[in-house]
Amino acid sequence: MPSKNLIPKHERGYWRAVIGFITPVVIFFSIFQIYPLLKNVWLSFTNINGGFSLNSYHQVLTSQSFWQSTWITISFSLISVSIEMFIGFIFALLLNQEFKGRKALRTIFLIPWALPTAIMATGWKFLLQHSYGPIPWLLYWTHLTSAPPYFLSTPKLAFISIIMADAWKTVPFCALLLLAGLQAIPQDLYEAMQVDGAGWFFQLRKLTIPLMIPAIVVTLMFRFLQAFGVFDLIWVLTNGGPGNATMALSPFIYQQTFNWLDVRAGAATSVMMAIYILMIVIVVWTTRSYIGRRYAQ
Amino acid sequence: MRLKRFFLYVGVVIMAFYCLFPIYFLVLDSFEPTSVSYSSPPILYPVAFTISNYVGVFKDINLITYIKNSTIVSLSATAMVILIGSMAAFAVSKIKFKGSMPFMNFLLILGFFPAAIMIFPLYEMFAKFHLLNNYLSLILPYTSASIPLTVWVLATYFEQIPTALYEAARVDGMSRFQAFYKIILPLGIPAVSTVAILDFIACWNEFILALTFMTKENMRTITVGISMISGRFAYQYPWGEIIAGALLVTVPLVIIIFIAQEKIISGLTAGAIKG
Repeated sequence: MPSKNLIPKHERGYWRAVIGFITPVVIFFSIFQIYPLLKNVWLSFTNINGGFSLNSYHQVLTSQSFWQSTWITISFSLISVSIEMFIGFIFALLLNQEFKGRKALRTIFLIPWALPTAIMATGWKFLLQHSYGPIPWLLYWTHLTSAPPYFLSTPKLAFISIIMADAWKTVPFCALLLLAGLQAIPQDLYEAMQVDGAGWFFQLRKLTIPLMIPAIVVTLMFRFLQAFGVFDLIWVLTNGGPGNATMALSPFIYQQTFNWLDVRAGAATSVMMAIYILMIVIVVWTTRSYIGRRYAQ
Repeated sequence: MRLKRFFLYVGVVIMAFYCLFPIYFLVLDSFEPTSVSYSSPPILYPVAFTISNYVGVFKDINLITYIKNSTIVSLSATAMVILIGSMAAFAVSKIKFKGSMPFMNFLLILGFFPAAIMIFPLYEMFAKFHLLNNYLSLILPYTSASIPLTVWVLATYFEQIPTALYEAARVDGMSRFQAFYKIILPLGIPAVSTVAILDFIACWNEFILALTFMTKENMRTITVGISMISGRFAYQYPWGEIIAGALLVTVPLVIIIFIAQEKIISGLTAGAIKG
């Protein structure tokens, strides 16, 4: 229940105070977030002489690499986030049980999350090395593959590599967020169901999952948008390669802007990416209130 | 019941293994002499021990400089965002101005945009003001990028502080600003320290801006410094040293986690569940 303010809004200096409190944040945001976005919009619609032009969009939207990047970004986000939410949910269910060492395990869970992505990717680059990295050889020794696979130089396997590394880093994080949702479910609801003789799976299906929907949707949205902007992991682990097999949108923009020095194409790609993100936000926002209505008691 | 316990502990072991197996291989490699770590196939258990990688990393790589740069940048940005973010959070949660909800949603949505789509205009701006290779070129955008999380977590917490306290202070003749820093801010210290830890870790881990705006070797931050080592050696990839460096710079983060794990978890979930 939002408490009502006793201090009247029309009191002298009300707006002046509000402006005083939020101005610093607004200034920072305007200069370092809003201005760059608008500047990129402007750049994308101009030619080199500053006149209006749709050339950059024509160039970007007809190039195969842009659509390939879009596809890589979407499939990377979808696959990695689904895996992470699924395993994360199982881990959260396990962590929600009583056992010795639970607190220690929760601490261990924070380590992958806190590791800088660029440094984590450096470590994975070593783990996946063909000749002396442990993972290809473990796969070979356990007879899962007929030879140690070349993870970072085969297009398909490079894509799988970034998903593996991303999953390693984020599964524990998802598990901790979902665990918080699990712990918010009142214990007596479970007791009531047990009295009625409901089994473990029935409780999961009819009580845990429906009550977890809001937490799941929020975690999903955060993770999806984060995965959508992936840069560090790809830049360090595969550098977008081999070829362009792992060139997601963020590294693609970076490549256009700083390697090819085609800032207008980079700006047009940036605008396209901003549009994608807004579309995702709108979809999640509307489905969230739909799901909220559906599960509201 | 006993069977259930058994499966539970199997699950626990799997989870611990999941988080730790890459770290095991990295620690193992960092203590191996080159002759062992470059053997193919690799040896996955300890056979020889040396600390030469840890000695070498300080000799070949400016690790101390990188750590200094990361510390300066992250601490400054954290301090600044706490200062300005707590003021905005106060305005949202206690003054509750008209339009505070749209304001919060605006921050949230803009916070979702990745740095890659704004990096060139920022680069151009910093180049124009001769701020490339200057700490400010990272401190200022990091401060800005930390605003959404900071304001959201703090506003959620300030909301729970009884408004009566604020009103009493106002009736006693305090100005809004006095009520903010004498009453609300001290009561909000737990949330402030939580969000400060999260902001610090986020700044410490940032990569793309640090990669772009700090081009001089002695201005690099730790994430860029470590991940760029490989390019500097022509013949051999010094994996032992790279990994020793990576592990060394992870130690402070692990210490923070051990000290503040409750705070970190509560902060992460406050941001996500309430959002």
